[in-house]
Amino acid sequence: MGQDKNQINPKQIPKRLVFNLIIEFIIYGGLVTLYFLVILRYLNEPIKNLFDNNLTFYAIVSLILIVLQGVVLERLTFYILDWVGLKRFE
Amino acid sequence: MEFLISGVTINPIFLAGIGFLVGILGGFFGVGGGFIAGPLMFLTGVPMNFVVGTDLAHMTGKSIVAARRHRVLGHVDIKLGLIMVIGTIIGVEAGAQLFESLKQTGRVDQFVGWIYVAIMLVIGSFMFIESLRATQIMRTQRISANEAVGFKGLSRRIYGIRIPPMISFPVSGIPSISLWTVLLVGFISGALAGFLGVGGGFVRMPLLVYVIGVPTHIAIGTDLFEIIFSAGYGTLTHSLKGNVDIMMALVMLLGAAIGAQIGALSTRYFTGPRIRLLFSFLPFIGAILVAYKLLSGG
Repeated sequence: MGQDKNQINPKQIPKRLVFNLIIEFIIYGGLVTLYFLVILRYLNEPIKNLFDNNLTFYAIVSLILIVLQGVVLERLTFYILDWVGLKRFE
Repeated sequence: MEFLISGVTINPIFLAGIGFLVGILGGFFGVGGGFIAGPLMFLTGVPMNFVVGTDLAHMTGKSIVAARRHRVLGHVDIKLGLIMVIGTIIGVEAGAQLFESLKQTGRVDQFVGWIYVAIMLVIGSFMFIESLRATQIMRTQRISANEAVGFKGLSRRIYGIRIPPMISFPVSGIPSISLWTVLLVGFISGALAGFLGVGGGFVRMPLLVYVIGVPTHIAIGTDLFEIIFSAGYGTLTHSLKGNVDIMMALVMLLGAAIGAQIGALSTRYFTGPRIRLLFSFLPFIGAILVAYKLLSGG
């Protein structure tokens, strides 16, 4: 086992990393706010009805929703910086 | 925002903030972060049954994000993770059953609580001493961070157990280990999680490093990969009992997704012993929080 090939010397953290992170935060924050206003607010009531009427279906839908959002958010943040033309810091 | 399922009104920014905080911890240390998220959610007025179930749900999504990022960095041993999941899920059920049977004897909360405190203190102390030793070994013997482990004797003895079938994990650099050892490690971490309520990651990450001999960065990524399945299973079972407010979990995940990526990427700037040293403080925090709760009768 040798040294981890991905290991980076902490002293070599580039300023670019912090800059990219800030850009990612701003874009991500904007998109997330939009998602929150458009989707989550309208989902609240139908999900509550499902919870009251069919707990088994609610459990399945819950798992699908959380997995789906996890996958989508990961993809979203992955592509944000490429989209704005900035080199990723990993 | 009013969360109709749990019947509580909470500022979604605060919830996303909790998610962000535990996301960083989860991505960096490979833990679920329930020891921080749980008390914070409880303080905002979320009923305890919803705290546990909702935290598990958000953990599922967060682990997907963090494990994916660790995978890109080459820090996930999928084969090891999938095998451990089997042991973990059986362990969670066994731990939960033991808890239920102890419930009938009364004062189970006090009993389980103090066991939790003792285990956390042992893990924290062991990791603290080991990581300091490993850092010293790295300096004096000039060996790579992956090879610097303060107590290597345990994993060497484990490799000596030759109960078939033997299995190899090339990603983790393990040429041959008994399948039963891996399943047992999964079972122990699952049983403790099921019995104690929280703490799967606290136990699994050190077990992966010291017992199976997995390098620290891969242990973190693999632990997160495993949490996807174990927390997903927990989400399903708790949802069926009506203990999950999925809307709350989705809002928490908005913060956790970005926090988990920052945490995962930050591991690149730390050596294995340094991560283990920082990790050693987490069990102490968990122990203090539980001890305070037990002593104050909360």
